Amino acid sequence: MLRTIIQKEFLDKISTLRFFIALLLSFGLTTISASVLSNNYAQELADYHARVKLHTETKSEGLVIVDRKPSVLSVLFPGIENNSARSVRLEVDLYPETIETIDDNPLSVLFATVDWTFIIGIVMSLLAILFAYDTVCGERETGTLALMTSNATPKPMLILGKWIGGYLSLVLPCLVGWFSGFLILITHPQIQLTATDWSSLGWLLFGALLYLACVFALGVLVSTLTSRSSTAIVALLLLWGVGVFVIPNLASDLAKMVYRIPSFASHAREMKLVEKELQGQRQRWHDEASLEVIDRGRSLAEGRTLQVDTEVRFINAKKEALSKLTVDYHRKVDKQEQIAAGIASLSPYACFTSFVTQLAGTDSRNETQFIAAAERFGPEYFDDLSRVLQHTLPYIEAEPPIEKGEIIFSYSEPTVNERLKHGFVPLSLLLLFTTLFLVGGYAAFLRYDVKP
Amino acid sequence: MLETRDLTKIYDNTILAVNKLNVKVNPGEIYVVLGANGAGKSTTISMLLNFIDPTSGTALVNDIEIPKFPLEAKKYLAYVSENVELYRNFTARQNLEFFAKLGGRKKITREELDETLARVGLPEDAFKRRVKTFSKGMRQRLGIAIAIIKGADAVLLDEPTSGLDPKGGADFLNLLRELKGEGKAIFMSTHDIFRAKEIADQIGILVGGNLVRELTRQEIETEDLEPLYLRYVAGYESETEEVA
Repeated sequence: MLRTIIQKEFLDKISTLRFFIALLLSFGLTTISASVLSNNYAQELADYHARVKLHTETKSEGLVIVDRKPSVLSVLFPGIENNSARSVRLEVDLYPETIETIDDNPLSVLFATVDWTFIIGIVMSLLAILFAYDTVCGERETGTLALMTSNATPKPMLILGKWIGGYLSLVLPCLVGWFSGFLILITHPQIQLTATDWSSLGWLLFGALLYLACVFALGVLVSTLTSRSSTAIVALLLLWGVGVFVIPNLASDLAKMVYRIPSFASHAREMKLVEKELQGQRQRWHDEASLEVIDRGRSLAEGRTLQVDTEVRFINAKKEALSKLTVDYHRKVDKQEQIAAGIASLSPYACFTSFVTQLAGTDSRNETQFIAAAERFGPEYFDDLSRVLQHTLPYIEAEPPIEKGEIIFSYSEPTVNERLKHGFVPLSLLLLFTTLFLVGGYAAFLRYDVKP
Repeated sequence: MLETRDLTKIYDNTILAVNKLNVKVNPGEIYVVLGANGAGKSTTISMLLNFIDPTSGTALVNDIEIPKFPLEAKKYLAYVSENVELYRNFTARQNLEFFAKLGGRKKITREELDETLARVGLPEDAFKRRVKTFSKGMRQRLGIAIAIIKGADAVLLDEPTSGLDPKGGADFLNLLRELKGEGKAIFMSTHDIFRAKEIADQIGILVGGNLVRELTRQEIETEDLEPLYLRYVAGYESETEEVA
């Protein structure tokens, strides 16, 4: 009996105009998107290799710039990849500085290519609503629901069959689109997928299917709470707008209201003030050292050592103070981000976006890990600070230059397990939302008035 | 056999829709319930199909209490609504096959489907046509086909002839006669006193949820049904008497 209901629901849905529109839209959008974004990725990769070459050539004793290879899965789910740090500038006595790549084509910013986060998160979720809104109330209006329930069919089986059949009819055009997109991806000569990428792709597919199941379940729930399909579609479009646009957009502002932090400009000004203060301190230390040389009649070599010690003391003090400020500021920013993410997680769309960017390695965490790796690399590269300092102080006799290329920076993207660990919360929330909507739909259907 | 025992429905504790209804439809009988809009006809059918629970009393089909064992009872019930819409993108054959399977038929041949469709008078070229191209009369025939193929002992029809043209209505009554001949217990609600008179073995007149009059076949043939109906349903007699 369940199979009969699933089959009917599936056939009924795929024989509608909306199914063909969904199929065309899914195929067209995913194919174009995968094609354009694959070429963009190839360009990004070429840029990366060019940057690495340039930075290897320009590397010196006091300066090195390290680069991050673009994530392969950014082809489909770019996340914040285009706005995140591609390189980190490491200088011997300065805090690491991130370098972002600026897109030199304004049209690509003005007419951004739609990625799969947009296609699945916005377009296909809208299709899910169009597939689900009349699942129950539409059949009530036409009287087929009464005819169905006049048979010895248990209501739970009926709603389950309708849910599964309807969902399968939604998934079909999506899978067709995704399959064509994957084909473009794997046949592109510049794109090499590793085992990690394939595993991540599997999870991304699962996340996308779960997200669509969630939206479809919401559609069925609203359909069982209304008696007219026109009411259901209006209510669903409202909920969709709130979930996709309102909550994610308001989350940051609400977090700023809940947890206030100084602006970046204020933070930068504070850093400058501290630095200025330390420069004054540095001068006082040098003066003290000079007086000691003069007063106590120290030798030139002792004087040099004192100067070096003073400079090291200054650099350490500066690093410590600025690091403390920066770490403190980042901690506040992180907390505000966490609050924003918590508010945004009320939206299935935000959960989906969070999950796919985590899995694709195009989230802020990947950038943070890259910067952290660069920061760790700095001291290694510069060997010990005092040795490097001797090269940087102009009045000290030069020692043989440090051989370039002794230590090579390498950054590995997070493993699938690490990505899943961070994507667990949004995935669990999606699962929770889906379950709640399914249970709600089931409970509402048990009391639903089937009469037209 | 279909029976109601003191079947009562009160909506929201205030609106009395059906009041202690007692009717009995034997196999091979057609019971027609006449009444104005809001008289309780559809509510009665809804209770017989367990779409809603009665406030008190009960209904039985083949001695199975419908409110207590709805799924078991529904095996013996078939339903034809006032406006059979069905699945518009499915063909007549697909619709019939789906509802046959839903009605408990595990295996069903194409020949059987076509025979049933032909029996209700659908032209052969309509078998594979989408239902959205059907007229109301054709859809009502398909509705009867669905009831027939289920093989249920009792058939419930909620104003099935409303909106049908005279020929469509006459054909529909012939189909009901065939079902009656097969021993089905038929319970039909309608406004149409002329068709009721033509086909009914018993007529019940519902006014404000109360069964105010029941007529046997003999009474139906002898009584002038129209003034009787108007007297009960619309209080018409008193007005005409006043005019006279």
